[in-house]
Amino acid sequence: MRKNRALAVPFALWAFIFIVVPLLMIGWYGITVEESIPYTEVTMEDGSTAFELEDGTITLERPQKQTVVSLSNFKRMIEPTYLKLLLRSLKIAVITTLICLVLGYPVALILSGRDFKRPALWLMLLILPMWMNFLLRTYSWMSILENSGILNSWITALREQFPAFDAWLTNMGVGRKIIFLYNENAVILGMVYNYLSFMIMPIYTVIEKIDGSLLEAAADLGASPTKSFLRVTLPYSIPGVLEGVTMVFVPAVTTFVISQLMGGGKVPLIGDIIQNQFGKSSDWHFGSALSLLVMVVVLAFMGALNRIDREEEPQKEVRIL
Amino acid sequence: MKKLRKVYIGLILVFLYAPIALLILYSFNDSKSRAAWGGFTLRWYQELLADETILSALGTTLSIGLLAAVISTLLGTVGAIALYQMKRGPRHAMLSVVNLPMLNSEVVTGVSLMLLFAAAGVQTGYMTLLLAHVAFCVPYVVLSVLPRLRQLDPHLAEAAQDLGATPLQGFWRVILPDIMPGVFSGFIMALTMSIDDFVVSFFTTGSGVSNLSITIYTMAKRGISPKINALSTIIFACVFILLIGINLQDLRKDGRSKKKVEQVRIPY
Repeated sequence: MRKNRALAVPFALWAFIFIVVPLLMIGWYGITVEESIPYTEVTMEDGSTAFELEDGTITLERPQKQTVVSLSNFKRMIEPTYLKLLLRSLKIAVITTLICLVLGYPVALILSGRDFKRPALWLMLLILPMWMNFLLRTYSWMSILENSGILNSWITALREQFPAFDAWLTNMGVGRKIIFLYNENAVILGMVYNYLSFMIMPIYTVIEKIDGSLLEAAADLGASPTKSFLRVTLPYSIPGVLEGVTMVFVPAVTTFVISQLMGGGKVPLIGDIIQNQFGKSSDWHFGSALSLLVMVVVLAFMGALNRIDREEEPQKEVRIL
Repeated sequence: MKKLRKVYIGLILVFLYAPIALLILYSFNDSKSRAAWGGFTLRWYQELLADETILSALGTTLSIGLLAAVISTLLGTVGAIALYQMKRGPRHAMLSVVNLPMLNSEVVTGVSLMLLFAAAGVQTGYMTLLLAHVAFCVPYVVLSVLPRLRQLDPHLAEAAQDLGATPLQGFWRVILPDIMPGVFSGFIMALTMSIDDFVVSFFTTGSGVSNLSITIYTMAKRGISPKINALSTIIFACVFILLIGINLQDLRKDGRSKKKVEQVRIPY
C-alpha cells in the first residue's frame, strides 16, 4: 500500500483534540482553583463606585475571580468524608467483582463443557439481557424491590392468606413493608445484575479455546477431574478471569447511576460526587481532581492485574503432574 | 452432576430474566398501583405512544446513533489505515492514545469532553452530543478494522496497481472488500455503544436535547411508571427479534460442532 500521510495527519489531529486535550483539561482543572480577589468598594468623588484591591490599585470594574494553581483540591480529597466515600466505592466494587466471579466462572465452565448441545444458543440467552438499556435493567429491579413494589405486595398477599406466616414474620420483627432498596446490598445487587455477563464472556472465550487434548492427556496420566481442572483449566483461564475482573471492576467503581437508582442517594459513591461537582455543586475543579483520582485508581488496578497476568502465564512446557 | 450443572445454568437464567419478565407482565397491568394485578390493558402503550418527550428522545437516540456510527466508522477506518501505514514507533504511540478512552471509565470520558466543549465555548446540545458519541465510538472501530488490515496481503494492493489500478481504485476494489467484515462489525459496535450510552450523553448534552437513556433516568429517579414498563417491553422485543434473527443462521449450522461458537456475533 502506498504510504499516505494525507490520512495520518487528520486522524492524529482528531485524536489529539478529542482524546488528549480533554484529558489535559481534567489535569489542568484538577490542579487549579478559582479564587476571588479580595477588594473593598469605594465611592469616588463623583459618586460612582470603584473597587480598591489589596495592593492599593483602584479599578472601575468589579474584580473577577482568578484561576490559580493550587493543591487544595487534593487536600480536600483526603478529608475523611471523601476518603470514606472512596473506600466505600472500592469495597462495593470488590464485593461485586467477587460475586460476579463466583457466579460467573461456573457458568463459563459449564457452557464450555459437553452438557449443552448448543452452547452458542445458551450463551446468547445469557447475553441477551445485556442488550437492553442498562437503565431499564436497573429500573426493573427497582420496580420489584421498592416499598410498594412487586415483592412487597406478594409478601403482603401471603401474610393475608396465611396468618401463621404473618405471625412468624411479626415475631421476627419484620415490619409491614420490608425495605429492600436504598442500601448497600441493593446497590451491589444492581451491579451484579448489570455486570455478570461481562465476567462470563471473557472467561468462556478463554476456556473454550483450551486444547481438549491437554485435558485428555491429564486424564490419561491419571489426573482426577478435579486435579486436571486445577492444573490445566484453571491456570489457562486466568487471562479470561483477569479480563472479566477488569470489565466488572472498572464500571463498578465509577458508576453513579446504579448507586442513585438502587441506593436512592443514600449510598453515594465516588462517581456520584464527581457527577455532583459537574451538576449541582458546580465545582469543576474539585470534580476534575476526583476524576484524576479515579483514573489513578483504575490504572493502578489494571497495572496490578497485568503483573498477575505475566506471573501466572502458563509455562510453555506443560507440567501436568 | 450433569443435572446439577443444568440446574445451575437455569438458576442464573432465572436471575437474569425474572426482572425483565415481571417488567413485561406489569406493562399490561391495568392498575395504577403496580403491585396489585388489575386486569389486562394496553393503556400504558397508548400513553407511551402519545408521550411527546419519550418519542422525541427516541428520535434523538436513533438519529445520534446512526450519525455517530456512520461518522465514526468513516473516521475509524481512515484512522486504522493511517495507523497501519505508520512506522512502528509512531504507531505504538498513536495506538496507546486511541486506547485511552477504552481504559478510562465513562465518567472520566464524559467529564473530559464536557470540559473540552466548555473551553471551546460551544453551547452543549445536539452537536456536542453527536461529537461526544463519535469521540468514544472511533476507538472501537479502529480496533475492529486494524486486525483485518494486518491479515491483508500487502502484495495485493501492489498487484492491483501493477495491473493499472490507481491507488484509489486499488483501495475500493481490493482493500475495502477484504476489510469489510471489520468495518461492518465496527459500525455495529459503534451503533450499539451509542444507543446504549448514558453516562457520556449525560455530561455532554444540553439545551433540552435528551436521548432515551437520559429520559429514562429522569423518569426512574422520579419513581416507577408503567409507561417505562411498556417502553422496556417494546425495546426488549426488538432486541430479541434482532438478535435471534442475526444468529439464527449460525445457530442452525451450529449443531454439535464447537468451532462455530466463535462465529456467533455477540458484541459485548
